[in-house]
Amino acid sequence: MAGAESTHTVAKPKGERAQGAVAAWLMARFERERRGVWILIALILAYMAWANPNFYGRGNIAAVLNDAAILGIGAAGMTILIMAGAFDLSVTAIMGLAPLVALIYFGDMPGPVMVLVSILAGALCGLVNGLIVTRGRVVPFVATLGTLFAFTSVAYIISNGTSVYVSNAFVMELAGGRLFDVIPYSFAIMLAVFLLCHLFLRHLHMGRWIRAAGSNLRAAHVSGIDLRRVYLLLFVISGVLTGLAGILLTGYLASAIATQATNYNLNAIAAVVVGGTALAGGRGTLLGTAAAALLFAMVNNALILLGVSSYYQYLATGIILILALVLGLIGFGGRLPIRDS
Amino acid sequence: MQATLKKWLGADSAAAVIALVAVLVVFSLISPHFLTFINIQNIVVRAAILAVTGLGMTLIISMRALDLSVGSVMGFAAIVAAELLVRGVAMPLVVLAGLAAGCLLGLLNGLLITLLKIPSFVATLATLSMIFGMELLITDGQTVSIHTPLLNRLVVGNVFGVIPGAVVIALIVFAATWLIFYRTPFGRHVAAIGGDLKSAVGAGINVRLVTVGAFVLVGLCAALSGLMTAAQLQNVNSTIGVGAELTAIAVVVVGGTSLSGGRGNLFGTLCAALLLSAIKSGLNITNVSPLWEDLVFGGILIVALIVDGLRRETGRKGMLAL
Repeated sequence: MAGAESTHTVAKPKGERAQGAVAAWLMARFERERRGVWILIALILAYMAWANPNFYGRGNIAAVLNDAAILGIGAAGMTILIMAGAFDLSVTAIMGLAPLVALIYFGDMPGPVMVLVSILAGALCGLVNGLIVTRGRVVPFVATLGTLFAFTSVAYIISNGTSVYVSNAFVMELAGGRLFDVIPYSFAIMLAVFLLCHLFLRHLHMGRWIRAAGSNLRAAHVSGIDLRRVYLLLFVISGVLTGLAGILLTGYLASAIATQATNYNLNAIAAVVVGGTALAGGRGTLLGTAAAALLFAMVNNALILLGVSSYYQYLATGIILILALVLGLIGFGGRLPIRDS
Repeated sequence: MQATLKKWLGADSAAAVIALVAVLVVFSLISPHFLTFINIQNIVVRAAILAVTGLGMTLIISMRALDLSVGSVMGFAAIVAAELLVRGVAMPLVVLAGLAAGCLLGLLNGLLITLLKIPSFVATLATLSMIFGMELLITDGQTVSIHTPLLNRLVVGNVFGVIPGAVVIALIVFAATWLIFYRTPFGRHVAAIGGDLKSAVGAGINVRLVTVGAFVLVGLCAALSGLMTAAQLQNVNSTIGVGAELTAIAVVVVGGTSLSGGRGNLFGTLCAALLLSAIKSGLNITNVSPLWEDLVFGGILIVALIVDGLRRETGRKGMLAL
């Protein structure tokens, strides 16, 4: 695994080792595929400090972090899926369906129950995806394309195509409240999600199986990995995280509608790619995805603060995608000297 | 007889054909209004617009690439045409300009993929967003109304009093893509690249040129779809084509073209477009809420693929069809 190898440090005299490890860790973040997102974040931070310092106001930081969290939580699941060589296009639909199930059928329950229901509804959707992929043997891209249509339709049917309003204080507080007046709960949740996913990938057998399946499916199969279990679990995880992101979005908007997260699937994939995960599978970086989610949120927010027409955010998204990849290609001969030392 | 039957059931497009026949039979039994002249016209016009993009997408998918920007290209071409029409430009020029816009955007995709070496999925995801942004900037989010009866008649009006113009256009596109795909070196190269990129390079195929060519072609198809939509609706805004990329991919896949590349089934795409359109119309006419449309289509997509997988079962037990 290239990701693992890059964090290895060559044995050095004791004093230098700690310092070297930190430098290597930092430089590893700055590797080929992962470089673009950090450069772009630095550029925006610097530019906004000069152009509009309001960007650094508490309220604004909280708004950016909240946007990043809603995209990031779903994108975390997508990162693991893409690492394993799969996609989940149905997340757009789950973002609408899961909170709608919670609001419509469990609307008068306590808030935590509603959040749990949304997560379980997401898990159920993920289970359906996983079963279609593993038992029906349909390619993930196509299977989740089918369920994207199907789940959207179910969301429309149960809500009758209308908005459902939220009055539950817990759900609204979860999405709108802040720690220390700066960090939204949603962002704290996102950090927890990324930490859990990281531990899952690095410290459980399943994590290694996932990367093995992503880099060479046949080899993974031959070496005795239960691929069905891997993919079923992955789709359920993606569903769970999307159900969570969905209820957070609903709390934030104070209402839910089937189409509340248009293009969430493609945006999540974009965040994964900008974060430096290869679509070919086998390797990936959660930290990069989190940074990319932050980058997208920062750009959209910066455009608003700069008074630029909100239409430019679509142009910006596309340009970021291309820039992040291109920035990874130029300079350093594609390789940093630190890796050979 | 049995051999013929086996051949038909074994074809890649079998799932789409069978589902189409089933849907037609079921709905015509349920409702006497389903197989009326006017309703059939509605079905085929809508199917024609879906099919034109789908046919281009079939080529791209058989090249083992994807074009996610087709929806935005549809909208962009429609908006370019509408803005020019409102400014009094002659209609043939407007159509040419719309198609040229599609070709240029296709060229942009092709160049991003071949020169910057960005995977087609990512490159076209970027242009999907960028082109949509440009649409909003051009129209300022407003709707442009065009009043061009001639353009409308070209698409919805009947040729010889029977066949809607859109169908004629779709059949011409079908014939053209069929000839290009199955009867020209370019088409064989597209399939070769999709089948095995390394071998294609080894065989001396100019992969870059073919890739760019295929993306220009799908851009052209998408633009044509966009123009047809504009002509049909007479009101153009940036919502035209939103989400059309995934519908197009679904249509191609239901039509029996595998995402793993190397082969494409244009006839299946045509049938799948008809199938989707027939489902929409059938549910509409039997007074089922339109909210159910996507559930039925998504269900058919999944069932078709599962059945397809079972049919092609070749002792790969335990392996996932990834």
